[in-house]
Amino acid sequence: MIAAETSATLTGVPYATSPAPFIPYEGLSGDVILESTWAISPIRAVLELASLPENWDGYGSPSISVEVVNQAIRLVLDVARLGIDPLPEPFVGPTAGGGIILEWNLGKRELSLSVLPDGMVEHVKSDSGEPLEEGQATWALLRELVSWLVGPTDPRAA
Amino acid sequence: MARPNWADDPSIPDEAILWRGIVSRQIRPNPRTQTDGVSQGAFETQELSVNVAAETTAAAVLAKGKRRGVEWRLWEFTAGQARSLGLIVDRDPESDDPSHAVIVRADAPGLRLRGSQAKQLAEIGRWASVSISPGPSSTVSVG
Repeated sequence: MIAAETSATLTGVPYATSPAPFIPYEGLSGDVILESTWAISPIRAVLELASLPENWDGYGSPSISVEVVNQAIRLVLDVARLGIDPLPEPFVGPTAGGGIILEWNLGKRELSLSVLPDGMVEHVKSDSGEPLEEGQATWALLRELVSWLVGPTDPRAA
Repeated sequence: MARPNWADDPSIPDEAILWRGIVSRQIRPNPRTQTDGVSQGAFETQELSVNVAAETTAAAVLAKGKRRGVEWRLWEFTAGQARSLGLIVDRDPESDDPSHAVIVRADAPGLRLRGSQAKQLAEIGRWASVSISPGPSSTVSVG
């Protein structure tokens, strides 16, 4: 079973900051405590990525570290904890450099959250495929990003 | 291979089609187009390997993937499209693949492509139309 440390108080700080890029984690043991069933499928998808071998893409990409897996699980749990409904399940995939990406499409709006190999999380907001904003994600920003994804469309943009 | 002196190569014209191999885990449905698309994550790397299509064949690139133990589909976009995103296209010939090239950031070669750049490579590209070349004496009827 996979452990995910989810009880830390992290509001307003980056998901990971140098020089201590990761919150201590328990490694590949323990339980993931779910507060909603929404998180089950994305977490399963993240766990599947943990078994990717080196060079899984044919271009020499590294396997995905336990730290990145745990960070991605933590991210999924935090999105679930926002309780924003309706929120579709994200696409969960590996990134070429050894990270994990969560991608949502909702109408014309798209949101991606990339867990980088160093544990940082970056976001890209797009509308109709056109990136609008990108940057480092923080725990405080997470609600704003997900709320934007599911929020009403600006009538002026019609 | 990492190197410090990436530079845009004008011998690769803007119209040149570039191919990037995509594995199944990077393929995702695109609800807007109702077709298979590519995850932005497929392009989130420091040095994005591609092939110059005019200098190789789809079969050769796919065979290269198989030699590396993966099944690729080929995503294509042009060098000009990549450059318009603030990227450099440089040759990086390999002993078994002279058509190999690399895409890196123009503002910071060697740093990971920005998420927005990766996103747009996933948006502007399309699947390469791959056909198996018939032998010299074969004929193919269409329509």
